[in-house]
Amino acid sequence: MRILIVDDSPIARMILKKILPKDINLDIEEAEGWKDAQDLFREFKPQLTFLDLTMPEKNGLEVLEEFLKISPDARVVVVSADRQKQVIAQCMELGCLAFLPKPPIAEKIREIIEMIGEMDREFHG
Amino acid sequence: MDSANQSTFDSDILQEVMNIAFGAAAAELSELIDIFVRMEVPVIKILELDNLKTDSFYTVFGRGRYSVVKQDYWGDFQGSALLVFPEGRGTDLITILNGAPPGDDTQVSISNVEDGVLLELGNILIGACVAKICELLKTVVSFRPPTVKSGIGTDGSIFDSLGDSSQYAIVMKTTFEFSERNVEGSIVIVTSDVSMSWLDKALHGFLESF
Repeated sequence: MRILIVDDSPIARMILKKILPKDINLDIEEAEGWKDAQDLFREFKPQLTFLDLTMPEKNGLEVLEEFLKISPDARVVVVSADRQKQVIAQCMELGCLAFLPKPPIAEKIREIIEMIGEMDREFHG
Repeated sequence: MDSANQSTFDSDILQEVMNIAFGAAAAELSELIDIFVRMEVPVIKILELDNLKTDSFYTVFGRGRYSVVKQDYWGDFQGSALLVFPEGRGTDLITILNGAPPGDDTQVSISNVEDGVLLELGNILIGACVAKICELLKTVVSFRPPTVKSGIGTDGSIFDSLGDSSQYAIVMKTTFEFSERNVEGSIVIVTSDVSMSWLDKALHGFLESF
């Protein structure tokens, strides 16, 4: 499964990579923000994107909108320290697949990846 | 703290811890008073304590006069947590906390009400932020009662709790905005270099816990 991680914090990216399931074949790419992420998103065509919200150059809500403009079916999971209910509601309204507060929990990440794996298997028969 | 210690200290991990901690504090405040708090990426600085008390005050806060809630803490790491607002935003802060501006019949002066509001906001934001840092770094700190001071310009004495044995201070600052009222503030956690070796181990322990 192709996974893109977009977060300006190298530590947040490291934590996420550490807790991704090791028994599932994952192809992982990383971006620090919109500047790196936009081409990567188009070319790498991630099956799942983990996206931070509080980023300096373009905030995560704007990046989420851009991703969904490029690919309306994109599966984007927002992983953010900002877990105010208004923020979660905005993310869900924009069309994110799920919202996970930081620090993310390994079991939740696994559940999402397995769910997407199932969806893709069903879709491709 | 020598340069070797500075290089081993991982400010990236501390920045992420501060980001998570302030997120928890903002969520708590937003639950309590139904307000949206816009967060910025935290900034971590290591400053010479003498400079921080004098010239570098402005490096941390920017030029201006401020109302500051200060709460000292001690434990495995020790220092001061500060909630800082530009001076004179009392009416806005009262409106944020009470949901309405102060009435004309207010018996006590605006500045007294402002102090009360600042203390309450400090209790919520500082308490939640430091509590989350402690939870992530697996420690507990004790607090002194918060104090509020208004009209602070270059008063470096607010850093006195760091003591005389410290040469450097680690400054963690997150700027935020109560967007409905256009009020910007910052929460600043300052810890002394006496806590450095513990902090370094705790931060790496945090990373290894995943």
